[in-house]
Amino acid sequence: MTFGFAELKSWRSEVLGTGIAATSQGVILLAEAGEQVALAGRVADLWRGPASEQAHLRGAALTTRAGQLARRVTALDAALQTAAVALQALTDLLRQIAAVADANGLLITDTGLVVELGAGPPTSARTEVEAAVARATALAAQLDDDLERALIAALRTSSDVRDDRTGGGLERGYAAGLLRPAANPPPSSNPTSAEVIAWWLALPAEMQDDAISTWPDQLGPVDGLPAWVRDRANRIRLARAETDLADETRRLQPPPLDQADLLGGWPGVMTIGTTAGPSRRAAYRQVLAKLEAVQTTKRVLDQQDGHPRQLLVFDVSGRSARVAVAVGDVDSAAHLAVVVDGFTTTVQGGLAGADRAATDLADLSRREAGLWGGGGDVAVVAWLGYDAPQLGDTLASRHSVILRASAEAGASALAPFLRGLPPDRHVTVVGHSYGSTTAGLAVSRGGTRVGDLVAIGSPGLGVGTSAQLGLRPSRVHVLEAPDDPVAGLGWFGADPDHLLGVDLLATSEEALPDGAQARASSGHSDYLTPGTTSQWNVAAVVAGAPTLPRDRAPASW
Amino acid sequence: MAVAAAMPGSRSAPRAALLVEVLQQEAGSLSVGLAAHAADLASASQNYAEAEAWATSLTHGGCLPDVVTAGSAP
Repeated sequence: MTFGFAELKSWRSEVLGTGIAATSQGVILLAEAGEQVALAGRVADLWRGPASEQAHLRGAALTTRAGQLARRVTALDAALQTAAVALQALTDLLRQIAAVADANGLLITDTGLVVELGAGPPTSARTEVEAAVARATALAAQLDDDLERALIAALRTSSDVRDDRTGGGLERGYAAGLLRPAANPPPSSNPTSAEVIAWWLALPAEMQDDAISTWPDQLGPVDGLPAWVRDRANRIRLARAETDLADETRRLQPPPLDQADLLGGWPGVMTIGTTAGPSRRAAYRQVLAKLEAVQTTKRVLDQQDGHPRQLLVFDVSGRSARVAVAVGDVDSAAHLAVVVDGFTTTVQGGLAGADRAATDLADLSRREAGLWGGGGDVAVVAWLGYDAPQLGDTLASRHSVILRASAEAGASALAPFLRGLPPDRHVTVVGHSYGSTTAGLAVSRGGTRVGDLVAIGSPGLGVGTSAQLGLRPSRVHVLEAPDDPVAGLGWFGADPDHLLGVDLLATSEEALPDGAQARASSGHSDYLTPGTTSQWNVAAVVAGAPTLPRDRAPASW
Repeated sequence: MAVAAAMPGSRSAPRAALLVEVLQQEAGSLSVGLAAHAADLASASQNYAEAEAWATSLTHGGCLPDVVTAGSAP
């Protein structure tokens, strides 16, 4: 408490009323402006196209900010009104004390001492006035504390809003140390990606770091957020998952085989991020596999090879881990490639290899873009964002490699991921084996911004005609090695080789435009090996450079 | 900063005064931004409707093939 009785006597509740009038006016202003935007939004419903989408997104961000500000102003208004009522009661009490003191010949000094003006022993009136002064002082201190707490609560009601047009009011507040910024939580109750993105756009830059640290689970999975945001959020989730899964592994460490296992295990064992397994051993194996996936992901991200990496997808809530790691900077690259692998792929067993292939592909594409394409940086994403069929899945299982269920489920994750990539980039999806089915199904769902689709060793793209992909046939590129037993099966829709008008690319030994000799790729899993014609061709598609067609000499170099 | 004078010597009143000033300023500028956005939306919507009507009239007059729409009109 820094005030004395002299200051207390000058406290006035009506002065607080000026602040209340200002906050009430602010709430009205925001409400009126919000109504105008809502009305204009309804009028502009017929306006379509990219500019319209951007305008509506901007409108959503503005109204989110207005909503945050309105909540804060309302909270401040309520704090001031409560304080004004308490202050009025306090000033009434002080008036009564002064009247009693006057009537009994008592003087209250500026420090709160009660002095009798006449001579004589202390009277009972003096004792009462002293007690009343002490009570009033305590009430004033309480009022000050309550208002202080209410103001801090009002500050935390919503994120601070900064805008260049405001003249830096908040910045002055920060500098004065009086404002304590705190970000408003992201939308709850299963928000859509658009709602989270609108919230993120409304967040002042100085709060972004705190927001990522505070809500990584709400930000990491959101398609459409900048890659750097997802990367930082997902790395936090990765570290937490490692701790959680290590604990879970220790908890589930099974005893030696016993009668329960022989009889079919203990039913209904639930684990963190794991569905109920048939036995504790199955749950243990699943958690262990996820822990290995997390550790593999960490090793891939921690490589010191001069290539920046971004963790775009991280999810250990399903039956297996799902991860996507970009080599390069997705936010700034001109050419983006997303490589989707297939049968038997797991994060723990396949991410390191997929990352190596992505790194080699990015390096080669960057070189080809510089030499024969239009230039520009390249980022390649190793996308292991779905539960690919595994050897352990029986043919009757819904995860079976002979069924398209896994590819359909994968497409449901891949399509929004592709839609969330930065706009105005050249995007290529490269699908290998069963991954090409997943990729084909995702692209066929439309709106993915994919410019080129590359199918390598493909058992089918899940479509019967090239038109179903929604791409010009010349932008669908097919590579098949002659001795690949999977390519040409045509198991999922038509054989890509036979789709009308598609671009058939060479996998044979060829002389490259730079004079080097590229070797033929062999079998089902050699397409992206460095030094092969197939890898060169895939890199050329990614870079927007000329390719080497199948069974024909290069058209022009 | 009038609010600061309501409770001289207190800790809370200066803070309340600053908050009132800052938030009032923010509300004013944001409401201006919102109003400008609403006007932009209305104007863009009007332009779009006019362009669409123009493209339609050209198509019906035989000046352009049917595939031309407002989005692709020159």
